[in-house]
Amino acid sequence: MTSILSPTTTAALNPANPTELRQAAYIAQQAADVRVNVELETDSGMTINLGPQHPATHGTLRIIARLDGEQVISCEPSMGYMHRGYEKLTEVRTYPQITTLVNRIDWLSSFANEVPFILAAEQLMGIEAPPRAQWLRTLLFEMARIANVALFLGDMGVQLGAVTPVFYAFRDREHVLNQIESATGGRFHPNYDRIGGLKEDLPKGWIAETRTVIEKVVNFCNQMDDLLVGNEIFGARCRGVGVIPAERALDYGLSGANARASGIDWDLRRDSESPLVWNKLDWKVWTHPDGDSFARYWVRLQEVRESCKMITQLLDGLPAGPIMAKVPRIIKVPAGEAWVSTENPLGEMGYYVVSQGGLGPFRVKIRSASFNNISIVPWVTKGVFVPDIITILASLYFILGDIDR
Amino acid sequence: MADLATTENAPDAACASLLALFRAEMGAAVVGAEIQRHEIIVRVHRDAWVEAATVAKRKLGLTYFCFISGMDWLDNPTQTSRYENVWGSVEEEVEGTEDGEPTAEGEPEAAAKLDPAPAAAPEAEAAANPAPASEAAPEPDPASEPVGFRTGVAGGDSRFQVMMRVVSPTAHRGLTIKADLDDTDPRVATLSGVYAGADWHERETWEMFGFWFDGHPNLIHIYLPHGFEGYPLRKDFPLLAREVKPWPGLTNVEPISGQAEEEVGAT
Amino acid sequence: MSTILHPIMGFVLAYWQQQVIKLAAILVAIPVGGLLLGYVFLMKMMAHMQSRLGPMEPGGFHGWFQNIGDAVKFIQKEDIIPAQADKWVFSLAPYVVVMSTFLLYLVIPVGPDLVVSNLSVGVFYALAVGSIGVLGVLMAGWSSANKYSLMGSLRAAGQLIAYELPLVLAVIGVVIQSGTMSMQGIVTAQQKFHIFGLNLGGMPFIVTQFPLFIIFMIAAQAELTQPPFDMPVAESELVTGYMTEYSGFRFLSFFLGEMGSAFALSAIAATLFLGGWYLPMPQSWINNNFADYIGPVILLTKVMFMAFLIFWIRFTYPRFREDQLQAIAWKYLIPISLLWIMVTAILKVAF
Repeated sequence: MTSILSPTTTAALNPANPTELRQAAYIAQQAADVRVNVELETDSGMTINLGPQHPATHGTLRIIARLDGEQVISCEPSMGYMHRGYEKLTEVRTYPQITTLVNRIDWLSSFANEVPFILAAEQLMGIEAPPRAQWLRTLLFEMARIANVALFLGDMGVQLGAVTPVFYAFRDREHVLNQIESATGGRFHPNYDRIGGLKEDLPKGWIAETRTVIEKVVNFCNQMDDLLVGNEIFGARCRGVGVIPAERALDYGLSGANARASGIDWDLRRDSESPLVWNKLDWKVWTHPDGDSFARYWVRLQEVRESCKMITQLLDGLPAGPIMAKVPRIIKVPAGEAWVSTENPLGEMGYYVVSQGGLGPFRVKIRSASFNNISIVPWVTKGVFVPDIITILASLYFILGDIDR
Repeated sequence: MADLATTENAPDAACASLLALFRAEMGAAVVGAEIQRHEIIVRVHRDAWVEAATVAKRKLGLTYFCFISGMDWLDNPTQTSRYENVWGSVEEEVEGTEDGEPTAEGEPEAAAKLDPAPAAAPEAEAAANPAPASEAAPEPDPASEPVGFRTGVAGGDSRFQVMMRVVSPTAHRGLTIKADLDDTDPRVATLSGVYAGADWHERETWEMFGFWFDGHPNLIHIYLPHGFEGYPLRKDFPLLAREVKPWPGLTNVEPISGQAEEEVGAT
Repeated sequence: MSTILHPIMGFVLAYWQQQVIKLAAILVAIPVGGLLLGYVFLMKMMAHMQSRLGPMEPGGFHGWFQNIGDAVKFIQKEDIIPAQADKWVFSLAPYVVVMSTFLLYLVIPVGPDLVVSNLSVGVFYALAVGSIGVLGVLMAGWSSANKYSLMGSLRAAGQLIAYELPLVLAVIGVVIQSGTMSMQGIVTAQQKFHIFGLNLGGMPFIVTQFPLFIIFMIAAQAELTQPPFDMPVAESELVTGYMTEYSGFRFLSFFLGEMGSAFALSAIAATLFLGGWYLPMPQSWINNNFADYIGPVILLTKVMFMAFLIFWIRFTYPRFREDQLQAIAWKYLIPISLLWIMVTAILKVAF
């Protein structure tokens, strides 16, 4: 990659014309990329670029892999192609505006991104949403989890070459998205959370519809159990591939299902003092001792089932009452610092909010799960084969927006 | 490692014991400490940065690495944290006249006046009407903070702070460690030898804040293109969109008097 | 050939006229066969299995026109040759692949008299020309000046060579049992073959050669580079491998070659193991050329059934890794086929 202002490209050009400079730099960069693709070094291995446009990276992640034959010598992810600077942008927005931004971090489960930020703001303001709002938040949080992880369950198949599961995933995820849309008005980016509660109450008939949708999701999980978990080739491709021991996982900050697949019995839904109502529900944290790609798939599959169980209980026990606490018309958050993290579909997502008492935060540190989850890739892909890179990446499960923020 | 497993019922006690252990291990290196709800926030001397991480991991069992990031406490007048209401008026205060209550809103503006570096936002000159003091909670420790900075929980006495957070996956208690860095040469030792995951986070912090992590194996850009100049998350880094068109963009809305006191009823 | 046209046209065709008709039939058969498989299985069956509609509008009935429209689209697309590519090799590679498919069709009998060339070493010939396609794949991968293509073609070479062996060994059992390598001879042998005194007017070799049939189908799947053996074109790893840089008609040629090979290998499997164009029928039908009219229909039915199996597996399974693929070929398929050949030979001598 050539710098836009590197001296080699600017020497012969008119320095007064920035457009010309930029064009020359662009051409030089293209030429460099072409060279990277053509040269076939053999003495120290071949460099292959997986990405930034590559079907396995679902987004613009670039993996620079040095290969010896099909074996990986080193593998370094290179990201930033989608960096949107949310941490900077939050500094020039008000609290209600920021939920719109953070919606876009992990775009498959947008609602789950809003919740920890709103909770952090509420914690600083010292207000608490009414019970119905908390139940609905939990409910939609779990639906967002299904919308996210269900896609993973199918996508893992397509990364390994089985095309069918991903269509089933899209099919059944569609119903979940429909429910999210009818409740929040937003299919992908609900922006439904407000400080002190929620935007509005559920529409009529939503609960009954959601029950049928959950049945479909359970059915989908069983299908995935048959299609992939019970499949010998899937097992051969996933078992023993990308093994991450528990202490390594913690060292790199792996969270969520990736950590639980390494046998770490830790789920923020159960183990943190969240105002959301997970502790009032009957569910189980699944772990797997193996720490390989199969374990990660299996744990996520069980988590979708647990989410379905949770949603059923949440629908049964949904309390009546207001969905909005008393909050000032203009949200001004008192000075202070708050760290709130929740167990998002991809792992621990947290916001470190520093307020100085104005309309917007002084600083927000967004701790997204995928960034840490992917940081283990150079370590875990050493010595594997090229197809295993894909398996490992797929099983670690990242969303580009969640890496790049 | 402390016995932290039986802490479900008494979270604050667990935090307190954890903090006590940390203090005992670190001694005088702990500059400031505070427990907020279930969060422990400590500030250590920057020379004890690696030691603090090592103690946290090896002695306290905080094996889960959460993040490393930075803070820039410089005041920036274009930030929304400076704004009092939606119509863009920044409360203007004569410096040094903190009559009666040191409100949360009052001070950053005073700080802006003292601060020589950043250009004042257009609103700073334009707006005049000081909004009535809201129901903001008193800030953590107003007395100890230096002029020009807000120092956050557990204090601070320099512009830059590096912070990290580690968690115990068994006791489910987290510890946020901060360290003050030098204003002109922010520099601290790397943690990548203690927590492997710190590698990428330090690269990110370096490119966003310009903190140098001594001993880091591969301190190169992670998000931004190679050759990018400047450190975007520093408060004096200009955000072009705000330079071109100041927040909130739409300025022809008339303010309603007494807006701040109005509250919407719950539905 | 000339005999079946005799009652219709009233005269016997000259040799060159027969050859022209045969050539035309082959030239029509491959695109039609490829399109048929592509339409029936790749579009409609896959769409239903994957719980989606697939193209429904073009042409009216279930979007039958879609495939033809696709072909037209491919033909009119720009033919892009990368700047760094080896131009000639790059241009020729798809045609080598298609040629290998064309040559396969020459020896498949579709009726007692309907065969382009009744070679005495028909099976041997079919397997030999089938592996020419590897050459085209290697050419495509090497000349594309793309690392994905190169890796894809090397994988393809390794895979196709490894699976050529079980394919050949699976055929040997049938050849031993029928005593001939001629495809027409193998069909004739199945008309007369019976075991345990059950003379039902012939019996397909699948009854005795079932293990070799399974091995043949697995190896055929690998030869076609279809899942679970599609590493050379693995789109999630190598972005369709050796086909990455191709566009327009050349890409269509690869597609046609793949579908045509699927059709041809299904036909070979149907001929070797299911009795080809023959079903238990009166000998008079064969004598008076009636079998020449129903033979193609019978064979097509069998081919569609075999292709259904191939595509069913294709849409269900994930793909293997390259080393696992080699392990399957060398550790399981080849020993089992050798064992079964031995059993066949012993039984052949004993009975």
